[in-house]
Amino acid sequence: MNAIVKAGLKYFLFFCLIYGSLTAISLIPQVGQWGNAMYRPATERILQSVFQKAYIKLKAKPNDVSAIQIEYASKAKVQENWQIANAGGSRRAIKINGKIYEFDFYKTFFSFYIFFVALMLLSPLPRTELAISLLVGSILYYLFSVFRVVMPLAFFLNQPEVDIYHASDFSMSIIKNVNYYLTIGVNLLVVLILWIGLAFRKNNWQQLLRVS
Amino acid sequence: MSAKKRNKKSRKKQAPPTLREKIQVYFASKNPILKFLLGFVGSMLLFYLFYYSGLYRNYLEYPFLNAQVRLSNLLLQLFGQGTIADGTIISSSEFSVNLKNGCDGLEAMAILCSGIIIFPIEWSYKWKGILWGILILFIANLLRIAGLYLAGRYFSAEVFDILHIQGGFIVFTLLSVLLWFLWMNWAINKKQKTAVV
Repeated sequence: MNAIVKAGLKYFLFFCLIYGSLTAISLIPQVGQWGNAMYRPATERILQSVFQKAYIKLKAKPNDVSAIQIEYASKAKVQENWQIANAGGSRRAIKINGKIYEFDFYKTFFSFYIFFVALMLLSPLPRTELAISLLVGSILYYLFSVFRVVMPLAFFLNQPEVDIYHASDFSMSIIKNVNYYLTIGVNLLVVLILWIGLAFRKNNWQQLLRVS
Repeated sequence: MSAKKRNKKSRKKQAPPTLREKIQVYFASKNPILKFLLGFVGSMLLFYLFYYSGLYRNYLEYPFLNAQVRLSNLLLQLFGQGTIADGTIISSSEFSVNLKNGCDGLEAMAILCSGIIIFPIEWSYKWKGILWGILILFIANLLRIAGLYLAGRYFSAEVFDILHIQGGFIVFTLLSVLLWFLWMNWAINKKQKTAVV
């Protein structure tokens, strides 16, 4: 029993060391800015392909590395305004102010991704397998985080005043329910599921704590 | 031909495993884990159905949060903090924390219980793990609440925010996972020792 508890405490200390260090690094503003900048382009492309009737642009919020702003506008309305402005044949520029939905990049992705990395680094895997699992897990967790952005955005794009999509009442109730259930707890659960699925096989779970 | 030479020859003839064979071996070793994951996810789904049900939200959530607030407040008063507990709020003239769903530690307890229930071993080992696990996590959550109050009172709102998500939520979940692995090691050891006797 003592050996098991000792092994558990040792694991906990190692975890706190790795997770604490990674968190401290992630809180350096330049690192946050870099993560924020890395996250936006691919996410913007995915959102643009999911919501093809909308113009979507992801922007960093000035003086706040943890926030990402999604500016959206209806393509149909933009084109309508364009035609009205250029009715006389002149090519005039038009200015469109889109609506903005803002989310916390750290709470949606970064903090939980660091948790995943810390868990994986302490997993009993050979180096090559660890690298592959880390890569696969990173992609899967990134896609989940994008899903977490897609669902609230789907809700906003379906609002009558925005007038871009017009989902049925049934679809809207699904979107509302999914948003209601996508809590921070579910974020953690997804990380744990990815970790168990990628790091463990038939008999290696006993090597995690390395009980002597 | 000697046995040594024959062995060498047969080894030479053996072709290295193809990518398809490697993938098959990988998934064969993953099979029990994938089954385990399926059970774990199913069990957590059942928990969330209960956690978001009217029964929990309307009748159980408030008394449970209130009990945790009272006990954490008691703990803070033991350390000389002049706090008062009111409903789901611990407050003093300097700072206050409002306990909401998600701060109750139930998700972490559910992760531990799901892991123990799904693990293939006799129930005589499981109930001990569940009882001790819930007790440890409940006490740890009281310490977490009291610690968050102290962080908010003596440090800044930023420190409170960081500890709330990083320190509080993530490390607390890790604690539940750790208890689960400790229990699995303990249960397997105990079973092996019983089998030897």
